[in-house]
Amino acid sequence: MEQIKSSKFVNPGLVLLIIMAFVPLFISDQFIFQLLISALLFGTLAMAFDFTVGFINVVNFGFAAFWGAGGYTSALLAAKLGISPWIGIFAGLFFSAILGFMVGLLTLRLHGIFAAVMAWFTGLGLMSIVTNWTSFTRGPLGLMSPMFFDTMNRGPYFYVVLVMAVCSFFALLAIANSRVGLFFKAIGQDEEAAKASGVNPTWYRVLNFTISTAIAGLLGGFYAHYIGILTPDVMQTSQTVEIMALAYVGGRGSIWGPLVAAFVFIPVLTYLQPLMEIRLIIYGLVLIGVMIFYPGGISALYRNIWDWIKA
Amino acid sequence: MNVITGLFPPTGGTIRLGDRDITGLPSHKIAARGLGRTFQITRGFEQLSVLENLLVPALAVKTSNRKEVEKKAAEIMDFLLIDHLEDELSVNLSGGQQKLLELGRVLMLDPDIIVLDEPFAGVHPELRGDLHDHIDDLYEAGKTFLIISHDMESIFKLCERVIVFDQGKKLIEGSPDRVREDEAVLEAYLGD
Repeated sequence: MEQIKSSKFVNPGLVLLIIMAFVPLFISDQFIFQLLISALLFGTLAMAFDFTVGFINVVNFGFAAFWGAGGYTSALLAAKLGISPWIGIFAGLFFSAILGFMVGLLTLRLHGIFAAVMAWFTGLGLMSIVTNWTSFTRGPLGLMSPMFFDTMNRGPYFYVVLVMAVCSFFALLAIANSRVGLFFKAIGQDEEAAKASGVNPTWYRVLNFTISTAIAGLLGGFYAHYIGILTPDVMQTSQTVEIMALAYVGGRGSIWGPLVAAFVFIPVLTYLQPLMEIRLIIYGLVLIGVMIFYPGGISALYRNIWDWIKA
Repeated sequence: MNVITGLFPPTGGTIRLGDRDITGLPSHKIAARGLGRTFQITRGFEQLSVLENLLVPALAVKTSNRKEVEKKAAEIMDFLLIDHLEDELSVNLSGGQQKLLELGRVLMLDPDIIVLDEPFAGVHPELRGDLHDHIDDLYEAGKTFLIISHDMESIFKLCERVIVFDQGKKLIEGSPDRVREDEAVLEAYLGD
């Protein structure tokens, strides 16, 4: 089937983030704020996930573990050493990045499903450490984490996660449009051809993995000081699946697609919360449906509509 | 050929490129040292445009300058007669055009030696003629070619020295005229 190279288009992710900056001027409902924070948080996580699957074509099944690692780093620094959450979240970023770098070195020489399974097992291993090292992490009992702000108002949290989302969005977009981004795409599309073109796939795959996990770690730190308590559940594979569904529905390799998908699906799934585990079934069905019937996701749909209007 | 270009590790011997030992080097380093290759089944970056495909090898050189690289890509597209496809996604090209694009990516490396694996397989006769012309021009410009092909007519037309293998064994090595008249080659490749 012929695929059409799209013309330049208005980036919906950028439009969405600009709209978000003005939302607090018109909304004061705390429940709506909570929804928007979740959408920004999971949308940004899905952008970071897409940065790996959509560019170098590696599915990081252990993604939630890196998010959790960032959260636990920041929460432990605050709980054990009294370090400010504002410093802790960057420690979470660095710890997850280092972890991602090391895991990347170990796993990314593998290909396809082997790399994905290795990343998944690494994630399970990390979750197991957090669960069983109860003297340090309190395991399933939960680790109390000081909040960012001494208020019940969700508005300040909204701005913090919005800044993180904006910084992540522009950083990922800048990398995607640079020569490094071109190499990522080349490696993801045909690694042998990339090698024959003089591109070192191992280095660029590890670099990509490190950037993605660094963003996950930063957002993990935010989550820890937004929710106030961390349990190993945060690192479960089901969390990765929810993020992965947003990335696939949004459209792999677009960066903005997963962010927009989060603003569609997070509110819907929040209202479906009483259905408990059935949510995961819905996620699975949506994922299968998109992969079979519209693998380009929301981003491809938008570009096709844009090209049709321009034609 | 896969051993020479670093895809498979050698089990013995040494490989030299000029006076440099490249034995066991990974393929991206071999490519950077001036040995470019194409593949039997054409490979490429399907969701990148023709221009972007050409930029990848040249930008992989750390000291490269984007503007100079784009100028070079334009020259190569012009030379290969694919300049009208600059913005087309590679996946939309015909088999022959993809062969030309693959050769273009190799040329962007500015290699001393170009290894072509079955470059004429599945290529429209008209485009095959274009490919012959491009190889001739590049040879005249000082490039060395190693061509692996079952298309004996193309080999006889292009090559000065021919080595014929059959069932993994070398049958003969020599000039096209000598190879053309060899009984064993006639039996193995050219029929009666």
